[in-house]
Parts: sequence; structure tokens; C-alpha cells
Amino acid sequence: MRSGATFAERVALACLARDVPESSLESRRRAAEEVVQSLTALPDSTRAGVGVAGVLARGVVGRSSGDRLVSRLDAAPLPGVGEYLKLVRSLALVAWFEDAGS
Amino acid sequence: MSSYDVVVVGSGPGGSVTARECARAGLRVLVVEEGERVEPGAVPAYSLEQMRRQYRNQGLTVALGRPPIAYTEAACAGGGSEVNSGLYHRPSAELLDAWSREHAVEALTLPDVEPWLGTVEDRLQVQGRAGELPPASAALARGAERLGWAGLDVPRWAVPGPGHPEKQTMTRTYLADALEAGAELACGSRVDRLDVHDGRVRGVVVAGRTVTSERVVVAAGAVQSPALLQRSGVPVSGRGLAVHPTVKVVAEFAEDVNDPADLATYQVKEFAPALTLGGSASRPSLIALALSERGWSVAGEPREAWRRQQVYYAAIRSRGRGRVRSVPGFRDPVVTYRLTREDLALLRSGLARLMHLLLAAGATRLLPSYAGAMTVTTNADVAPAAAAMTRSRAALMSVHLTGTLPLGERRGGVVDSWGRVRDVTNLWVNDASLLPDAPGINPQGTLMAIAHRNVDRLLRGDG
Amino acid sequence: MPDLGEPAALTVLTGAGGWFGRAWLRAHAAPQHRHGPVPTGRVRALAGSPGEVTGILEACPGAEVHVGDVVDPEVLQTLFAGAEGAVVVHAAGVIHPRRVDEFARVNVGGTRAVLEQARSAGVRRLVHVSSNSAFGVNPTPTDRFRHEEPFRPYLGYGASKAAAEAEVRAAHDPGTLETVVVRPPWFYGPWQPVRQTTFFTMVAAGRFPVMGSGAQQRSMVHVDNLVQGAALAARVSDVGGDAFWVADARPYPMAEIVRTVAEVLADEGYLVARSRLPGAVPGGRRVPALVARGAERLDRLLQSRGRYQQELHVLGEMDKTIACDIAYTRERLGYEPEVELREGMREAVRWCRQRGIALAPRADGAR
Ligand SMILES: Cc1cc2nc3c(=O)[nH]c(=O)nc-3n(C[C@H](O)[C@H](O)[C@H](O)COP(=O)(O)OP(=O)(O)OC[C@H]3O[C@@H](n4cnc5c(N)ncnc54)[C@H](O)[C@@H]3O)c2cc1C
Repeated sequence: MRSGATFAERVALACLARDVPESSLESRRRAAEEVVQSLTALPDSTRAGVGVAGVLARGVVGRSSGDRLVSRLDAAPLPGVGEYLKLVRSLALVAWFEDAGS
Repeated sequence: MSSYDVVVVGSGPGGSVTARECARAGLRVLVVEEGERVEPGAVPAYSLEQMRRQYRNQGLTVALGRPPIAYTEAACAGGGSEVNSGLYHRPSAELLDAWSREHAVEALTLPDVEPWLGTVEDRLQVQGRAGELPPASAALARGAERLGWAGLDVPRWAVPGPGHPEKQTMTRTYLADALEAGAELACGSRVDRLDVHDGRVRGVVVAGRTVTSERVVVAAGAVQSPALLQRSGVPVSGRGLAVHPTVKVVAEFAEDVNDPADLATYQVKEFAPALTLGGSASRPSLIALALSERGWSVAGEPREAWRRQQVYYAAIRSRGRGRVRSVPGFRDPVVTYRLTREDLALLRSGLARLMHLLLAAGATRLLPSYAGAMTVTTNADVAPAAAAMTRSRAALMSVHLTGTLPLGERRGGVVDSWGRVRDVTNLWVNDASLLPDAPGINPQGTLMAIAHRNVDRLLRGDG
Repeated sequence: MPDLGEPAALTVLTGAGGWFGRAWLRAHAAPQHRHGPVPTGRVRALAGSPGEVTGILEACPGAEVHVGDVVDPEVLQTLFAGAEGAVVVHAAGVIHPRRVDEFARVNVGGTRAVLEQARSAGVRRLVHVSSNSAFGVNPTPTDRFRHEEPFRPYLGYGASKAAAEAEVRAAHDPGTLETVVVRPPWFYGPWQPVRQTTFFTMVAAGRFPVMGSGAQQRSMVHVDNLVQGAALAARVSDVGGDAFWVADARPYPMAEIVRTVAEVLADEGYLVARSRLPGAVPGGRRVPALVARGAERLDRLLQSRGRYQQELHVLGEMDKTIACDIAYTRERLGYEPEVELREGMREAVRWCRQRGIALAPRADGAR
């Protein structure tokens, strides 16, 4: 569970670095934590699916980070990985904008 | 252990009408509500905080399918009325006649429900706007006028307040009335199942304990009500879920249009009931979300651009249907939706017409919200941008859920014309599940009038 | 009733040898109430080829006929010589060409050339005949195209008509050249081309494909109704730069169209094959909607390679609703269509019979 959480945070941070590059690292960290919290609130079936997709995604990105991590997920042909990226990214964006974006 | 005359499951519009009328009739009423109670205005409308505190699963629910449809349900005292936009429509005579015909519903013509609509309108102080349209609405009105398309600034259950209009939510109106008339409200209490035996319901099970009651009225919303019946062993297929699938476009104007705390209340009804065009909540976070649907395009947006941007939508009446299934071992039901070919055609047409309208209104740039969408700046861009929204790229959502327990005398129906569950003598359903179909208008007013009609019958039937 | 401007002394017509062209010329020669304020002055007609001249003169013996390609500036200069203050009705266009590039050459290029030459000749008003194809298909059987709609062109023809319509509306210049667009859907009525005769023979043989339930709707326009719409577009004041749907009073379900043609053919003494299948539409043969979708795909593919196949194209459209709302046209032009489906189809069938065009065996065995 813990490693799953940290992986989602890694993806969220990579997305935010790309989407809101001028933002402070601190604000991105806060948003990434929020993402982890949101993922726990997903409906059971979705959460199960997202869990599986997260494992696949972790395999895809290996040790890469930042832009490379995002592009790898974006291009991954595996089912669910693209959706995983989309979900984490949108949660991260909402959290960042709600906290620091206006 | 206490016993009640009526236990109402859910405190949304359907549950609140039921609770108030039963309490006023002198019955001992308990309302069981899973969510917490949040005072209206205590959290910003459409914010993440509101999602966290007042929505089920923080608003992250989705009906699986191709394409999937994101939907949201409230989970708080007052249900959807606490978080929604407050837009009120009367159902048309044609709509009610079609429902009556197709589902063999007794006494559901406009004259039958009109008195109840009046009651709802009075209590919620439904009214039109006084004064000028705010910019996001004015843009829709301007576009509609230039194209000769019909539209209106939709009346709301909102009274002028010091800042923004004060929405007359259930906690401010019907639920307050119910409590005043002696009903009890148990928040933070989820009904896991109903205790059903030999064709009677004995009560509701909360945290492993049964609260007994003479009658139970389920008003948990169009997804949760069928799921609760399924968990309780009442044979319910969960089919028939009907929503208003909705596509969105971010429109950018030369001037500021965005009021993050409110949305455009103007609707274009030229193509109603099949198609409605209107404005969505547009907090900066929601604009970013809509933009992110398109791919990697958020980064290039100037940070202050949101002030000139606004999210608009095209919502359709769908011929497709969905299904709610509760799965043993899972707390939340699995929801699926099948969009038909015609639905997709209507969504594309709606998207094209919406973009045409926004260009006519003076938008300088349109960013349709689906994967890989192009940017639209001229009339010639509209057709390719609409055509490219395929099943695999579409990003759809809906906030109007209906149809899972349609009222009527049709064979095989779970409930009768008044929401009474056929196989369980003292069990009723009284919420949006009863509407046989997504009505093509914002549904709360219609479902409240029908809830009034049903509870009136329930009380009279009791003698 | 809207204000009518002065009638023009000269009317110039392009596409004169076509279905609408000849109906318009006939109305010139023998105006009826249903034609509205069709001009009665001199008429000059452009035929696309010498083969069309006989047909043009048959419709209107007094017409001054020119022959040539509508994209050719020299042809147009002669056509518009002395046309100051005239009205131009621009109906030249291709619908079912051999090659897809003809769409752009004739429908867009021709329109551009006509606009240019009309402007320099001092023409007062140009009425352009557009098409429903610029707007695609309706999403549901009950949807109707409104006066203002986004262009959503249906394949190559639609794209060319959309581009042409946009240019015509943009070219409107009050005081110099006024432009008005009329948008007809599927035609019927006298002066019909071979493809419509094929439609009749298929119905008579009980072979016309009715896709799915046949509930999809079509706006149709009897050519004389279209003549009225175009005549009003040429005369009514203060409508420059605008565009108008010109169709019959209501759209018809596809099954009704086919059934009506079958009944009219039978009434008029033709043998019509009858299907005994339950729910069959007389004159029609039920085909799964899938077939139309397959045809549409193939049509798209061929058109993307520059090829055009008429049967495929028509088949691909058969499961679609293509229907418009004429309320705005009634209001702004005072348009009142007088011919409806049954009577209009009867006229078309009789017109064929008078000209000896075979549609089906005669019930009495005669030829
Ligand atoms: C964002 C948004 C905007 C909207 N805008 C409009 C609008 O402008 N106009 C309009 O007419 N409609 C609008 N709607 C729709 C409208 O809010 C709903 O149609 C309406 O709230 C449905 O009422 P209901 O009583 O059926 O259910 P709900 O309002 O969903 O209430 C059901 C309640 O039951 C509770 N519950 C569920 N299961 C259980 C259980 N097992 N135990 C205990 N409690 C349970 C839930 O927590 C919830 O509070 C909007 C909806 C949303 C989400």
C-alpha cells in the first residue's frame, strides 16, 4: 500500500512539473499528497482496477522520472496505463489549482 | 431499541419531501443519511473541499462503458440539493404523457402533478433573476439571439443573498421543516441493507443493528436505491439507468467572463428536449481539468487565462441505458452505461451546435474537452472538431441520474405507479430512481413533485 | 407579406439544363400561382453542353441559350454582357460526378467565377442554389436543421457546397451585389433526370432499399416549390446575405415516400410488385441499416481516393435523416409551398409517361 502511494505521488509530481512548471516544489508536493488521498476514496471496483493499472504502470516507468516517466506512461500500449496516467494527472491538477492556482 | 412509523433512507430531495410530509402527518419519522451535515455556504461551491465532504467517493464515480461516463452523486444531509446548481424546470405535458403511456403510470399527467409543482415552487421560492445576466450567461444569450435559437435564463431555487444567491437547499427548506415537525435525522449512518422477511420490511440495518419501522421509504438516489434493494434481496435488475450524457467545451473570450463561485444559468433550448446547451462550473481547477482531457495542453496556458475562460456543455437525452449492480464483497455498486450510436451522433451534433453558438457569441478560441481535440477558432473548424470525437476519445459526464426503478404498472416493474415496491407490502421508493427516463430538463423539480404525489397517496392509503 | 423589390428586366440562369433549371424556365414561360413572383422578363440561360439545348428550349422556347463551362471567365463575360441590374440564379453544379475533384472545380470554382463576373457586370442580386449536404445529417429522426446551423459537410459534395455557400454569403455587398442562398433538399417533380427514373423503376419492382424501420425522415422539395423559393429569394427586399431552407411543408418518413410513390404508380396504371412480407413497405425492400453503414464506409474510402460511385453514395445516405425546418423561410420570404408529396409525385409520373419514359409494365398490358 505504502509503495503504491509513493508511486502515485511520483506520477503526480512528474505531471505537475510538466503542467505547471513555474510552480513551487512545495505546492506540487502538497497536491501529490492530495492525489493519494483521493485515490483511497475511489469506489471499490474502480480502486481495484486502478490498483492493477498502477502495478502495470510501475513496471512501465521503471526508475525514470519527470518528463520521461510521463512520456513512457503516455506511450504505453498496456491497457489501463493511459487511464491511470489520466486519472492521476487530473486529480493532481485539480488539487494544485484548488490549493495554489488562482 | 426505538421503533418508528417511517424510516426514510436518504435525505436528498426525494427523502426530504417524504420526511416532511410524514412528520407533518404526525408520524414518528427517522431519516437515515450516510453523509455528514454541512451548513449551506460553509464550503465553496464546486470546490475540491465540497467534493471531499459532500459527494460520494469524492465525486470520482464512473459508469463503465465505451465511452465511460463520469457521474456524481451527493452524499450529505440534503443530498444533491446541497451541491447542485438550483436550476428549475417544470416538466412538459408531453413528457409526462409519454411516461404515462410507455410505463402505464396512473395519474401522472400535468394536471395531476401541477398542484405539487406549485407546492415545491412556493417552498423553494423558485424565481427568475432580477437584473442583468452575468457575463458567462450573457454570452450564451447573445449567441442564441444572433442565431435565432430559443433559450432562457433558467429560474432557480435561489433568493438574492448578500454575496451570491442563497440556494434553497433541502437543509434550508424541506429537511428543516421535517425536523421542525418532529422528524429525527441520523447523519453519518449508512443503511447496509433492509431487513426484509416474507414480503414485509421490518426495518433498516445500520452498523449491524436493525432499526425497526412500520414502513420504510428508500430515497437513496437513482444509483444507491437499486443497489440497496439488491443488497436486501429484493429482486431488482438495476437496468434502466438513464442519464444526460454531456460533452464540454472551454470557451475563451476577449474579456473576463468567469465567476468561479457560480455558473451560467442560461440554457439554449432550441433543440430541446433532445439537446440542451448551457454553462458549467468553471473554477480554475475545473478549467484545468477540462483542458487536461485534451492531452498535454495545460502547460502553455497563461495562469490568469481562466478569467476569460468558461466551461460550456451540450447535454443530450440518451436512448442508451445503464445498469447498477451490487457485487457481494464490494461496498459500492458497479455501474455501467451503453451509449447508442444515435446518442453519439446527437452528442457530436450537440458539440457542433454548441461551438457554433459560442463562436457566434464572440468566443475567440474553443477547446473541446475530449482526448486529442483540436483548437477551434473559425466556423470551418467546427465540423472536423465534432467529427473527431469518437467513442474512444470522448470524455463524457452526467449529474442527472434516473430510471433504475421506473414507476408504473408495466409487467415486471419493481414498483407501482406510486413507488410502492410490489413484492414488499410496506416498502416504498421515492426519489429520482422513479423517473422512467432522463427528462431532458434538470430533474429535481419533477422528482420532488412526484415524491409529493406519492407520499400523499402513501399517507391517504394509511387512512 | 414581405416587401417585394422591382422585378428585374433580365434574369440570367446557370445550370439551365438541369432539373431545377428547366423547371425554373418552364415557370418563366408558363407561370402558375405556385411559382410565386417568378420573373417574366427576358431570360438568358447557360447550358453546360450542346446536348442540353433542346431540353432547355422545350421548357422555355423564348430563352436565349448560351453554351459553355461555368468556370470559364470568357463564357461568363458573354453571358453577363449588358446584365447591369439583372438577377442571376446560379444553379450550375455537379452532384454525381465521375471524379471527386469535379466537386471543387465546378461547385466552388464555378461559384467563385460567377460571383466575380456578376459583380463586374453590375448584377443586382445573385441567388445561389446550395444544398442540405453542406450540413450533413440530422442526429435523430425528429431533429430538424434550423436556419442557422454549423456546416458539417457530408463527403465531397457537401464540402464543396459548404465552401460555395460560405463564399456566396461573404460576397454579399449591399448596393453593389446582393447575394441570397436557397438550400433545397432532395428534389422531385417534372424534368427529372435518369437517377430519379431509376428510383421509380426500383419502387415499381418492389426493390427500393428501405433501411431499418424506414422511420428516418427526409425533407423533399417539389421543383415548383423550389421555383417559388428561388423567385422570392430573387425579389424580397432586405434579405441579402441570408440563406433559406426551401422544402415542402413537412419532412416525410422514408417509408412514406416509398409507399406514396408505389401507390401513385399503381394509381397511374403501372404494375407494382407487392411484397407479402409482414410489415413490408409497398415498393420497398427492407434492408438492415448495417448495409447503409457499410456503403457509407466504402463511399468514404473511394472518395478519399478521388473516386465517386453514385449508387454507393445514395445507398450510404439511405438510413439517415436529412430534414430541415422552413419556419424562417416562411417568415422572412413569405414562402408557402403549394405542392405536396402525393400530388407532386403524380405530376412526375405523368411527365415521364408523356415523354415515353418507361417506368414499369402497364397494368393493362399496354406499352
Ligand atoms: C453537481 C450537480 C448539479 C446538479 N444540478 C441540478 C440542477 O441545477 N437542477 C436540478 O433539478 N437538478 C440538478 N442536479 C440533480 C439533482 O441534484 C438530483 O436529481 C437530486 O438531488 C436527486 O434527488 P434524490 O432524492 O433522488 O437523491 P440524492 O439527492 O442523490 O439523495 C440521496 C441521499 O441518500 C443518501 N444515501 C444513499 N445511500 C444511502 C444509504 N445506504 N444509507 C443512508 N443514506 C444513503 C445519500 O448520501 C444522499 O444524500 C444536480 C446534481 C449534481 C450532482
